[in-house]
Amino acid sequence: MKSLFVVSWEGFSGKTAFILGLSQVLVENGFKVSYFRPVGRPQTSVTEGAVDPDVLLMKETLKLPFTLDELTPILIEPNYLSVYAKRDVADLRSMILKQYGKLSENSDIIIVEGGVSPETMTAFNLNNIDIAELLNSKVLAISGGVSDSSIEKILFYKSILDMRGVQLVGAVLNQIPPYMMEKAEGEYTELLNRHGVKVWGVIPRSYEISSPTVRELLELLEGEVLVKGDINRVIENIFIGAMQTESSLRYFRRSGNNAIITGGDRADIISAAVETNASVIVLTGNLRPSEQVLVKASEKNITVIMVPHDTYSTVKILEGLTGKIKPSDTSRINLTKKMVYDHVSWRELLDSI
Amino acid sequence: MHKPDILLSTLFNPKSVSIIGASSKPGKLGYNILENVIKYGYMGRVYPVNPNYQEILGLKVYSNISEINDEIDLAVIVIPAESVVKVAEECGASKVKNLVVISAGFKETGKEGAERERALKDICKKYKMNLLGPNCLGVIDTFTPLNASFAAQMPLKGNIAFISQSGALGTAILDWSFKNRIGFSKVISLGNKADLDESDFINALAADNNTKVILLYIEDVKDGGKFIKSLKKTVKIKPVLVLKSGSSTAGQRAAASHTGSLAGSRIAYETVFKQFGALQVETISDLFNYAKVFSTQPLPKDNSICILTNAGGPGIIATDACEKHGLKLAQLKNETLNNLRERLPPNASIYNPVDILGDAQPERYYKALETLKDDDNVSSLIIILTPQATTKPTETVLELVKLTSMIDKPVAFSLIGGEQVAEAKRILSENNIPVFSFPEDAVESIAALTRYKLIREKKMSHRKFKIPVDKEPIREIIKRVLSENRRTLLSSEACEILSFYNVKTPKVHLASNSEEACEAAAEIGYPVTLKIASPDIIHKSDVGGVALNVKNEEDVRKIFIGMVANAHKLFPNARIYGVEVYEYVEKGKEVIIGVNKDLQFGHLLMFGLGGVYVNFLRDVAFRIVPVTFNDAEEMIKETKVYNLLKGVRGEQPADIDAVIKTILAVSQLVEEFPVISELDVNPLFVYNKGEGCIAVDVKMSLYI
Repeated sequence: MKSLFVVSWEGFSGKTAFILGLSQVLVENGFKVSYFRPVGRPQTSVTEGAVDPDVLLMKETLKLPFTLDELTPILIEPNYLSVYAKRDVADLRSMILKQYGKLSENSDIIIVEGGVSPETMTAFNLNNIDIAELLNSKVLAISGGVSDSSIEKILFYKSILDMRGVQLVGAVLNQIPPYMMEKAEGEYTELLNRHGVKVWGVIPRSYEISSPTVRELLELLEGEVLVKGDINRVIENIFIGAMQTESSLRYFRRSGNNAIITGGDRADIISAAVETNASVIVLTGNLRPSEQVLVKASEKNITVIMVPHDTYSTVKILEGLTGKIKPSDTSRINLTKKMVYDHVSWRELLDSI
Repeated sequence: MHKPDILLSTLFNPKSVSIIGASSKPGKLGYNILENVIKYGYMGRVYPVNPNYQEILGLKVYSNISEINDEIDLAVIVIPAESVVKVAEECGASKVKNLVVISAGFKETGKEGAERERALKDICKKYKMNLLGPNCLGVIDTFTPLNASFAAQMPLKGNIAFISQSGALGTAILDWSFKNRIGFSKVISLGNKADLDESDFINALAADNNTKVILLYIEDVKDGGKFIKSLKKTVKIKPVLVLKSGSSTAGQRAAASHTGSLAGSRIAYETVFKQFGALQVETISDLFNYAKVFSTQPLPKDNSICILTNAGGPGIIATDACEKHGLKLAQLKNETLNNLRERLPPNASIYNPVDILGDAQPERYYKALETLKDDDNVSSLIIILTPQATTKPTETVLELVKLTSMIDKPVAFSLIGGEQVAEAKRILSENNIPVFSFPEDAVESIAALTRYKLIREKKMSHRKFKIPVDKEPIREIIKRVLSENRRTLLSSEACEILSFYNVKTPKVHLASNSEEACEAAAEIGYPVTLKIASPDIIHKSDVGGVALNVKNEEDVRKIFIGMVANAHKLFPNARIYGVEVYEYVEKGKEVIIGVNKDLQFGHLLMFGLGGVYVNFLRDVAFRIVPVTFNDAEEMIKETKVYNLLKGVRGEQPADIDAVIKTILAVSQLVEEFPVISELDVNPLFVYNKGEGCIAVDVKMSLYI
């Protein structure tokens, strides 16, 4: 059985999307794939309690016959140091080993997803490196949004892994903006290779995967939906429509997939948003526009939502808008698979483990 | 199926009319329309349709259009909106040629109505029926005569055609027109313009012998390109006067709320009217003031005018108005002056404005006008009368009317006063002589007529300046930009594209680190200009993203690091590609050439004073693309920067020919690549005559 420990040393690297894509590719090619996240980060929900959404996503996608507690035995909550201070470290370690054995049974490969950040649970000898060592798993580093420092982070951690005798099988450079592709594939890949880090894939940034959708915006704002358009459209930019009619067109045209926030009394701005094919229009202050304006939006299949908040509060709420993939989001789940097929030498990676 | 009827003759002059939804109850629209058709003398066959009646106003009523055993040219539908689509289908099956849908309850009411309107439109398309409306007042032709509307009266017969997007304004104007004795050839209420729109009617009226002038009230234009075509064709034949509402910021917002869509910008509309020869008016009163003159008076030879008055003050006021509106006071011929001297009292002023004094009696007016009318230096005449102690307004006017039929130049009267001049005004109106209360209105109307004369004579330049361009590399650049999920081009890319159109641009290299920047600077040669390269930072100089005249490697390195760090700080989410290193170019006179894509009329090209003050001084002129050689020349002359280019205080004149070439190149570029939605060359440095110009900074955005 092969064991791959996937880690990232920075936030928002797209690690979950990569694991999601890789595991689907492996399943599609006849491998029995299992999954384990020893240290998870829960999101609390009143109805479901503390759940790690990434783990839930993997459980549903791979149809794993295990409970969420089994898939992620340790959850990082606020003040987790105090919580785990009472536990016996040896116990925790053996519990993880036992769990790992159970999950990996009968599988060809188990993908272990690394913890929240590199240092998490160091106090209990259970940080990423400790666990990789414990499980005798091989480490794959994912970096997101390429820069000099993210490349050097990979090298820095490689030097630590080398000292600990844990093998780094290589790296995947994820979420590369188009204008950095050439540099990532050339200069950066060569640099990593020179230092003994194999690069298995350079993946261009995909807004379809990483950007939030109108559906997520609707869930977040909980306003009144005046026009239900295509809610699967992604949102890349948020504009506040407070400018003059004619400048609004110029602003909105300069980028695609816009969410436009404006007042319901600004028929001109709403029309400009419709004209430039916005992803969604958010009307603040509970001001309802004229029916004619809404007709045009619905003709173009553009969602219009009305919220009671003022513009500032609305923008504040939308700061929490992120593109988390949900188990029901089949189109994005499929895109992650395509992403791995298109940009990762997955078979060679597998052979190297 | 019948041939397309461009003149819409079966609509204006149908052989048979069916009123679907005719009613026997006075006060219902279905009654009013039928009554109007009959009462105002329609000579063709009339077929009321309504399943609930046997007979209305002495006519047999049919329960369905299919029962009528006749070819129907025009069906007027006035039934509840829900049933209109079904009835339209029946009309189509019965080979009706034109539909006028009076009923409201369509696009103007919301989603359901919009769907209904689409269905109605589809049916008319399927059966090749013309459709006027829905949600309109109807149509009137005073020559047929046909009043297929619910207007309360039939307008007077005349040679003015009035097309109105507002039904209510249409009825109000009809009512007002009686008092002012204004006659119409046709009145058309456009309604929602689902099918027939202003352009179709302008085309039809262009060829209508009963129409001398076309009046248009619109809130928007349905199809910009079609409108431009119809204007181009029509204004050479007869004048088109336009009142366009919704031009203020608040007005635009109100219009958007009313129709649900954005009309093109105010500037675009004004540019189209001007460029393609429609005369734009600002007020309803101007629309009809002008119409009074346009419908009755011949075109003047040129802009020289003579003012005849019995009071000094009003004469001077009229003179001021002349200057303001581009008319010049005619220099009277010696022969005329001698004649006047002989025939007028010695203290009369015989020079233009000709003041025949407050005690002027009818004969004195007569003698003066008789003399002035034959002066070749006078192209148009304004006659002012103020009722003074011994003035006889009515008699004067009766006397002058004898002369006016012999004058082959435009004449307008200003009778200042109320009761005392009322009868005189009536007499003039009855004789089709334009009369106004105040001299400014008379002057303005004559000035408009003079402007129209120029429009009519203006040669449309067809000579288009085309540069042979290899489009493939430009397509490649655009493809790459879009594939990077950008809409804004880097300056280096924009410069490259322009250079394919023979526009000179500075050498430029994109450097992503300080080392590359130094190499680029060495290759280009010092001094260089550095600019931050980011599609997300538009106004670079506002954020310290531009460094001019950088002289050495050390400075390049320092500035590179500072500029990038600063940009990251001010625009944390911007994509920063690095810094662009530009060749240093000698400063010239700064002008701007800009393009913006209007929703209604496409690319709008701007020329004017360039540099950083462009937004504050607004010394600019606009044209719709494609811009011809004449357009380019004209627009330069319209701006104040033209005087700068010609050279002030002994300066060398600048290379205006090179500016024209650049304008034409930009016009050709956006015409060939309509995906470019915004383009700014600012500044374009213009050098002395013969030395060309260079596009120093180019911004370009795409919109798919």
